Amino acid sequence: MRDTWGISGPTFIGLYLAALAVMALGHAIHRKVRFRGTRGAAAGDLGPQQVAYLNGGDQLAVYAAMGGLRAAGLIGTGPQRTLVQTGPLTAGVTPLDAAVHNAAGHQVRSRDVLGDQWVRSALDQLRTGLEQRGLAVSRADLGALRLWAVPVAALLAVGVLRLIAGISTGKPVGFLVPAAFFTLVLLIAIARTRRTATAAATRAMAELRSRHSHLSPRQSPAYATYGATGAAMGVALFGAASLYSMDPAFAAEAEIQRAVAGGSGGDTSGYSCGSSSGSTSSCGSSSSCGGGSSCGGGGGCGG
Amino acid sequence: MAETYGVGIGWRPEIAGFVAGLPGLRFAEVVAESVHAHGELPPGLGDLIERGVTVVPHGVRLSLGGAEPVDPQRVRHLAEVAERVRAPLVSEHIAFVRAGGVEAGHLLPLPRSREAVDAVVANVRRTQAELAVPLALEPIAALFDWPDDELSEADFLTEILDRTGAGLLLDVANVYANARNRGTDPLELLDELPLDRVAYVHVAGGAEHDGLYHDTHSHATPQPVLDLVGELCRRHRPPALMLERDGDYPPAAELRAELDAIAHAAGYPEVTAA
Amino acid sequence: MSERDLAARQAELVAALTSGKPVPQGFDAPRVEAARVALLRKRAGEVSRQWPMLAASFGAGFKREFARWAAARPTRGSLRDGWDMARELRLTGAAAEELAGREVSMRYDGAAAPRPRRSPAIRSAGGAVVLQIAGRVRVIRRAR
Repeated sequence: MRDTWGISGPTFIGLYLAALAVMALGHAIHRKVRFRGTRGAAAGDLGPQQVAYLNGGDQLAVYAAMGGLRAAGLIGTGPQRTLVQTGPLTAGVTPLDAAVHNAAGHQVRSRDVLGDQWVRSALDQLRTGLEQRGLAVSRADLGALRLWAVPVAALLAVGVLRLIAGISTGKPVGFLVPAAFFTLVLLIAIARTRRTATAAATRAMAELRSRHSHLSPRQSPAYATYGATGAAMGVALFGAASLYSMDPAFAAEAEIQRAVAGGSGGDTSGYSCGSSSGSTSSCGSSSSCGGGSSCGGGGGCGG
Repeated sequence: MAETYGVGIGWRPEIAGFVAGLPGLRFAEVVAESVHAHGELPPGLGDLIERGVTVVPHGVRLSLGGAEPVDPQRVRHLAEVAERVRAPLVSEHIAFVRAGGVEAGHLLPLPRSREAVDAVVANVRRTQAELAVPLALEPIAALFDWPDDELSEADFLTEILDRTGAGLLLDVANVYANARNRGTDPLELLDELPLDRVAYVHVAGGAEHDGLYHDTHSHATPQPVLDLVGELCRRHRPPALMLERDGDYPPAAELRAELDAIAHAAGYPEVTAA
Repeated sequence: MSERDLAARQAELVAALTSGKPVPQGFDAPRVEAARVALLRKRAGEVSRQWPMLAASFGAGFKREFARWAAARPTRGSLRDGWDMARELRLTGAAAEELAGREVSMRYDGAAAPRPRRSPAIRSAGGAVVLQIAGRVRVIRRAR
């Protein structure tokens, strides 16, 4: 019985695995280099929208702007899930703030804000700034990284063809199946790279997340106290869930996608009892769970 | 508390970032029931303690004024939290929050009777037996009184304090609310209370609703309450006074202004500046 | 008065404040009523912090609706109060997802305190389908 394609099984699997290893390693090194970013890139003064872009791309950057504008009382929702302006823009806003506010002036539906031309150009500006500072990987570099998908896909195709040929001639394919599977995993990993934050930016964000832990939706932060910047930073670091924590009615009306999240990835977050971290164990023997405060809002406390 | 702490604030998770940003802060209170006795501390509270801020656990669900004995598990939790946050003292209320197995969800007033004094004293002693630190007791604001009050408010409180050796957590807003709703003079109560027993002081805001003043903790501290702080400090300045805010949190600038107003009324340094 | 007296009278007062029972004799009824209403407002505030989407689904009317629902139900803590109320409603949108999210995360039989679930679970409410595996919660289908 002749070998499939004239190559023996062990030789083929050896060559196949070698090619897979080279590609995986090559991609990893390439990726590592591209994402290293600028060593010691200044990340201390990152604004909420920049953090949001690094954490969740264009969509989260827009959400952060919406969070800030909403906290400042400048936008709201109108009929048919459109955004509306509820106040005039103040000085000292970012280009993205101005663009989103402007879009609200045209009663753009909130899910179409990303398609607004002015918003797009503000996002481009935001991204370019981050790329120049070595905090975000450029689109060209990301594209180059994704090119690794081509040889990996080719390898997978060869593997699958060999598999089919092997099965049809009754050859053992026990090693090839897992090898092809790992190739597929690598291919998906390459194709799905969405991250743009460099290692320097990722470190900076981890630091920001711990410094701003009070903005986590789990704390039910007092957004009025933290102001528009705090609200925007909360969205930037802890994802779209912050918008729901801040203003549930607005977030639902504006069809904010809760899944657009970074850090905690929290969806319907905060199942703990009480608004603080208190859970059943801190609640003593009674079935009820004490909230974080000695008293509720607006009701008369007595304590 | 022999030490002087000045102006503090009730720590709440909602405003943890604001509290962390008060450079001169040396005193804060945390709701005891919101802290795990053994698990992790609420985020931000640990940093405050590390910074040297004195954190006092404030129980709200012990029901010291209940006719039944206090729940030993709740007492143990309070004692463990005190140890956990290295508190020099803890506080609770002269009130009951449940009866007949039903939670009221609220601090309810006691009849000012000898019988009620006995009940409170027994529960306070049970609690003190488990605590490694002193206990301070807070008289509450009540919208109504019991029909069979035998003692004046001052006598009622003084007797409880005398028989238990507990400190007094005086809530100036409660003094104001009660006097206003009963149509009495808050200064009279201040004159009759043993002010040298005051461990620390609560200050809070409220609002009028259908002719009654509600101690809401979700409105700004009104001027008459600040005036009462001044009157209290003229008589005997307590080692610490703190703002209690529990909802509808205002912009940071307003909260800071409120803390500064308390500092000015008491003659303590501002905690909003280093 | 014996000690049993005080206990019984405290229970009577709590029942008047939480279960719609009559105000005990001798008390200033309008004042007790004011306290009862304030207590319901306070509970509504606590529930809306614990169940933001549920509260938002009522718009400005939540406190009133909750007060009506809770008038004769003593509190079992804001988590359970909101949970019990949510289960009785036909929820839609984010409020339905909120309920389904809680249902997959914690085991709650309506009688004992909710406990975190260890095993995976899938629940639906008002068209929302939510899945929990190893503590991670995913919305499989969004509610309309």
